[in-house]
Amino acid sequence: MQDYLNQLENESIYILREAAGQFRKAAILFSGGKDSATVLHLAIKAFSPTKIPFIVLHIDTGQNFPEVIQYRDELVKKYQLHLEVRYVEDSIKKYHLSETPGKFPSRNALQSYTLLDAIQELELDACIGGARRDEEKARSKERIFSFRDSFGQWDPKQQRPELWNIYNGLIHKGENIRVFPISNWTELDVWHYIKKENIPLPSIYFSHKRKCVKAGNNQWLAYADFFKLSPNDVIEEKFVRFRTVGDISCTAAVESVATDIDAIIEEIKTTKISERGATRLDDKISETGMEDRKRQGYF
Amino acid sequence: MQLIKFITAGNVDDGKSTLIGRLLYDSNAISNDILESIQQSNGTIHLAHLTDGLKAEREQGITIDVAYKYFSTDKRKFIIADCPGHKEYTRNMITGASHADIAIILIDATIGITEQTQRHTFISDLMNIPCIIFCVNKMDAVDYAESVYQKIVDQISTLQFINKHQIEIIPVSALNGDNVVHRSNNIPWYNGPTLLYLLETYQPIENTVNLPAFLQVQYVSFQNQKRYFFGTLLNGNFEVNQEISIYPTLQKNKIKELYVLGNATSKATKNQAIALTLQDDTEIQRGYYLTANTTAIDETKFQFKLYNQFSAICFWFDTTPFIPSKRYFLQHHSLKTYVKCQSITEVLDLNVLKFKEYNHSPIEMNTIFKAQLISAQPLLLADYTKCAALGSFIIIDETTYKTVGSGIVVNQ
Repeated sequence: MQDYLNQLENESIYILREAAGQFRKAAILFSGGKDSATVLHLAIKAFSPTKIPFIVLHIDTGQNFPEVIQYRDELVKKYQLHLEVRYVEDSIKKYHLSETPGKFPSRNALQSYTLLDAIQELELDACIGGARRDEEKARSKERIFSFRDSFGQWDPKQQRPELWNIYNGLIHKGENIRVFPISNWTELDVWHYIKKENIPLPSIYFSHKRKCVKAGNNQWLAYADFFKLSPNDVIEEKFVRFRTVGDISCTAAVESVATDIDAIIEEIKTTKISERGATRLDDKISETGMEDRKRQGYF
Repeated sequence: MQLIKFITAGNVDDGKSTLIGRLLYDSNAISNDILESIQQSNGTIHLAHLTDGLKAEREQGITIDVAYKYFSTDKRKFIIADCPGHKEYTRNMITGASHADIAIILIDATIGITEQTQRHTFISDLMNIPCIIFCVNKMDAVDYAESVYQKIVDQISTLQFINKHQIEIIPVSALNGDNVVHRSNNIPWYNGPTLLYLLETYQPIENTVNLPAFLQVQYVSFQNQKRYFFGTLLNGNFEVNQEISIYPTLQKNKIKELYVLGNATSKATKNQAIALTLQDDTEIQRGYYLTANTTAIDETKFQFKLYNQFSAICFWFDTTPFIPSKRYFLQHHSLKTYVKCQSITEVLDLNVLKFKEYNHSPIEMNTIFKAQLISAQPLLLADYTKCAALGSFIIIDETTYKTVGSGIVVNQ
């Protein structure tokens, strides 16, 4: 009997091979986070000993952790990946967009513009992402091959039924499929797999000393120059790690002394706060933050 | 640790959401921030809200789609496909059932078996889910009376099944947690297992039919002057130097190199995602099958066979009715071809759950019907109950590209 991690791995590889078989040009959406690192690792295994038939696309908000960019460039070199980077900064100029106002100006929602432009420019018919169904309730109803119309919209009521492991990737010009190979993985599954496969991660996933700003109820953000802070803001040096990797402005740190994967797995098992609940400021804007953004073309 | 997938089906008010909430809650799968969000003003937890859906659903007061939930115990990892129980239940339940090892069907102890229970059972049976667990819920509302449970057990024993299943019937109260994760002190007369115990110990039945090894080619890549074929190996083993047959071209070839997850190997086993190269360079496209050669002609053993014409039970999902004379796409896993309907023989009467002769009325959404189909390309098929991978397909509209139906192969 196969171990469940092997079962998940084989299922994900099957999905990635379906994407390669069905689409003319697909990109792996790479953020540098553990989930996209896992998808990239799976893709490399899925097509070995040949080169992966996907490009790698990074939507750069300009609010990245420097450690993540360094990590991305190392991976690209190691696996000779075809990397394309598109910048939210360019979309801001082109479309006169404004950041979400406030103390911690966020560009998270603006990524959709850059992504949709990149899809058009690079003529991508599919984008492969590391979203998981256990992350959030809007994601729990997501298909593995998820249809987006020519405006990039996700319509939960018009989703294609998905039976067995038969994936319908047919689209008209301008439409797009988002492929989610690790839909059925949980946060712990990802960590167990990273451990088993020895997948390298950006250093910010492990405990380190960092200058942090208090961002509300027991939430700390990594300090960044572009924050609009007042003298009352609390800035402290803390031992922290990041449980997800997004923009500096919307990814909260968790206080932790976990310096290796075993310690992280132990922390996740005992901690009683969900991954997005602990770390994502963007979901807290409203109860339906993710659902609304997905409808508008978010990852 | 093993991965088990199950579906939950029930009527609108028989406590399905509460049961799932209870499973997640009692197995410690809920984090504090989520718990806080479902806490009521008096401090109690509203378990049903754990499966609350999208804004779009809350606005309309319905569940529109299958939701996937995850939890694990020390023994197993579970994936729940939670199928909504209203109007579109056929489509949603068939979708969920196509992924399930186990079906959990809820029965309200205060009501007993309903038409809906019979439909859920019928679909679980038709989709050949190997294990069906009936949870007689709301036992607290009938004072945990054995007589009520026994009456429902008798009702279940009258249900007819086409296929063979392991059947279990458990008295539970999802609200109070009786016999879900923890054994109940309120039901001393029941000596059987709890729901979680069954989920943790159920052993999936291996395919009874003896199938030779095969794989469907998902992707072909030409690199390093070699042609690589990628696919997942089903049933049995592949070895280097092994003779294989190619379908539908019926050519013979020999395995030259094998790769499992990137590593060169001499042998690959069942369910592994593999890559291979062949001795002779012949034309093989995505969707073709590579099969282990069986030399002995043994009538009792399964023989691979190609079909252009076959019988199927079809499920219609689209708001636009099925048009028998129209050409559709048929997707048989990695193979896409055209399909036409030669004849519709019978249509399921959902009220009595019997197939009846087709009376030429339109095939509307959620209709289940038997048909003779003709495919443009020959397909490697098998009866769905003998091999789900060879016996299942979806139907796609050629102009809208929507998945409009699906089907299972019968009597082949």
